[in-house]
Amino acid sequence: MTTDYGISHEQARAKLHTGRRHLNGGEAKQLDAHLAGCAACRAYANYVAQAEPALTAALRAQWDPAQPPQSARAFAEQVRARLIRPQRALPNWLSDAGVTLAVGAALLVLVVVWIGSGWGVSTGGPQPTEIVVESFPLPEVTAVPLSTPSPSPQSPALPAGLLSRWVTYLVRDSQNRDSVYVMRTDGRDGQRLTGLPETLGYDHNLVWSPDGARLALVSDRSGHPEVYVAEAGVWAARQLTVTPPGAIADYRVSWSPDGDWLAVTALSNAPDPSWFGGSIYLLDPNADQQPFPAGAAPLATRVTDPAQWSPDGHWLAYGAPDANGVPALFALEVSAVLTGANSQVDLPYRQLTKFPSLPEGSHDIYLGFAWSPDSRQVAYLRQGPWVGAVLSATLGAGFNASIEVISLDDPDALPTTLLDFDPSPNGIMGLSWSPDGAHLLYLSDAVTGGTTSTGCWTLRLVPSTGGAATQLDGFCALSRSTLPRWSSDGRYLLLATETDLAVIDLNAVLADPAQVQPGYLTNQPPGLAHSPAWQPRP
Amino acid sequence: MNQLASPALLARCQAGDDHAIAELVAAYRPALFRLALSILDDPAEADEAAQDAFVQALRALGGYQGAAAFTTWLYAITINVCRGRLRRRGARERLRQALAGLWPLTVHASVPEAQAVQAESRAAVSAAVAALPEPQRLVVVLRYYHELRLGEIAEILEISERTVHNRLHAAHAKLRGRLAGEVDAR
Repeated sequence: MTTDYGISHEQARAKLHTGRRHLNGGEAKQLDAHLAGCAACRAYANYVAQAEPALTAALRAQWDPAQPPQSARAFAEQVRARLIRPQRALPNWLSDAGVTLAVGAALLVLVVVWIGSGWGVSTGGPQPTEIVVESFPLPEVTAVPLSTPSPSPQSPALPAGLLSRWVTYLVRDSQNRDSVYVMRTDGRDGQRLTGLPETLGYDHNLVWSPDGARLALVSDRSGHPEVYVAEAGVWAARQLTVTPPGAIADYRVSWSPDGDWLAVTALSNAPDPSWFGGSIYLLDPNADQQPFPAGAAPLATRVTDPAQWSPDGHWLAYGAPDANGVPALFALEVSAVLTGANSQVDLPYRQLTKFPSLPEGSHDIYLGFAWSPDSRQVAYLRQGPWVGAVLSATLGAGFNASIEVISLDDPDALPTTLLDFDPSPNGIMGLSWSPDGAHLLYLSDAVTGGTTSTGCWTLRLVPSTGGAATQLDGFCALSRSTLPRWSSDGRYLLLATETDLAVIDLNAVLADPAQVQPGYLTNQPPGLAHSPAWQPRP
Repeated sequence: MNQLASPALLARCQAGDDHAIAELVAAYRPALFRLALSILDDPAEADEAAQDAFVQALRALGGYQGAAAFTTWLYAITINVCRGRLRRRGARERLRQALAGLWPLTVHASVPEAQAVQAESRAAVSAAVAALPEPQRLVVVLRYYHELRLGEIAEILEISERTVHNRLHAAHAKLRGRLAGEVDAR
């Protein structure tokens, strides 16, 4: 009911709840007029004015001091593990007896969860069905002696130059913790480096220096993420950064081609939820215990894809939102920064992708990028249009996907389309360029020429001069985020399958892509082997 | 609330990309943890609820229509997860009471320190909020702890803005009597 004061008592209360700072001039005048004529409303207004700050202060005092019990790293790892594990096919290493045990355990867990959830009381909302799926465990870490990974009886036939190389990889145990392992490509000298009692903590993001002499890694063995460097074969890690506890959630590193610098993308742990993305800094890999970030302005901020150094050392490519908030690729002329040709406030960067805004706020996005070996081009997977945060296909409209290449020779160059998917699969990820420049590689779980997911992520090779993609059949890649690694001559690919680490010979593959016979480096590793990388040079 | 979750980042999260998930978690976990904590009042359970919410959100990303801010959508999922946990707590409490009827359980008396804390004004305010019925408590917490606008609260709880006002008014009617001394003392 509207009163003589222009608005009803209920409307006046609503405006008080809304807060004066959110009222426009007219609404504030209406409220003031109402309060002037309503004593009860004035009393309520006085109460609200005092109660609101009291409530905020009391609730802050109650909850602000509390901190989450897990580190950001562990939390993210568990989210990822819960996301990817149900989508994996049951591994071959689970025997029939193992399957029986796992299903039995699943039923037991199901019953326990049901009882624990309140005797079958409906909880409303989406149910966490992943509880049941998670009862299929990773293999027990005690199944194989931890420090002696077995050489595979199906070792790949590799040339002598590759046989002496180190391969690093991570093994995830049943507690979703990664340990670092190394071995020679012929299976010799296998050992577990971290995850031992004296090296507790997560070690991850292993990146070989271009000369193969050093290995950069990120570890939270000190309690929070720091960047380390270890000498190949010695493996004793030197701590490069000294980060204030809690300041950084994670690091990603990329070596400069001359090995003199590390481009570090630091993902902040800032509690402000409006913050987004990381910042890029340069780090001297020869100096220990550097306070970080050491007050220097970052080369880039709001970074959503970590920096990757171009093979010639001239550029750093990274992903960040453009001026319109559309995900875009940028290239920073880092050589000009290192020579002091540009000040920190006038950094020479170039926006490589410029996806136009489409109707209804939609736009295309990129999914992964790769430098050409000559550093003159960047290839990326393009997909769209996206509406908000979903592909238009999920809203019933069509969408497009392609592999495009942009040249850095000409700042005004337009991208060329290397491969236009027709129809466009949803499941395409990652992109890498072979060291000889002959091929681009990506992963897809869609049937060839279709959009239907097969549940098996396979490698697809595209000639860099254009043409149809070749699907490499015969095995499934483990993870869409664990990209295969090329040998320096571009002939071999090292990758994680769903069971073991494997190497494939592209000469044989291209002769008969339907019958790919990987050679296996590992033999039932004591957990989920992933993220392999081989030493660039012996 | 921010709306900066880029489609590319979400796509990579769905695909299990480590870096993308780490970014998403870094960007949203603090807010989701605080939200879950303010409903469950238990840091360990709040962290579990935040993780459940992330997993459910990433699995259900195809159902996100983009009409609401991504954060609003995440908040709504988190609140559903927390409500489920509260209901399970209620069921467990009923079970505990049923068992207590069969076997005497040790009941811990309130310790003097806890009583002292209870006597402090802020604790009294918090206790008064905790005593509100869940629908009113949620609105109060979202409004005065998370400092969300009423329109955002309505969107998250999938109720009308008028219902938000009504719940706030009903909450204040209860709090006013209990907090009179606390408010006057400020």
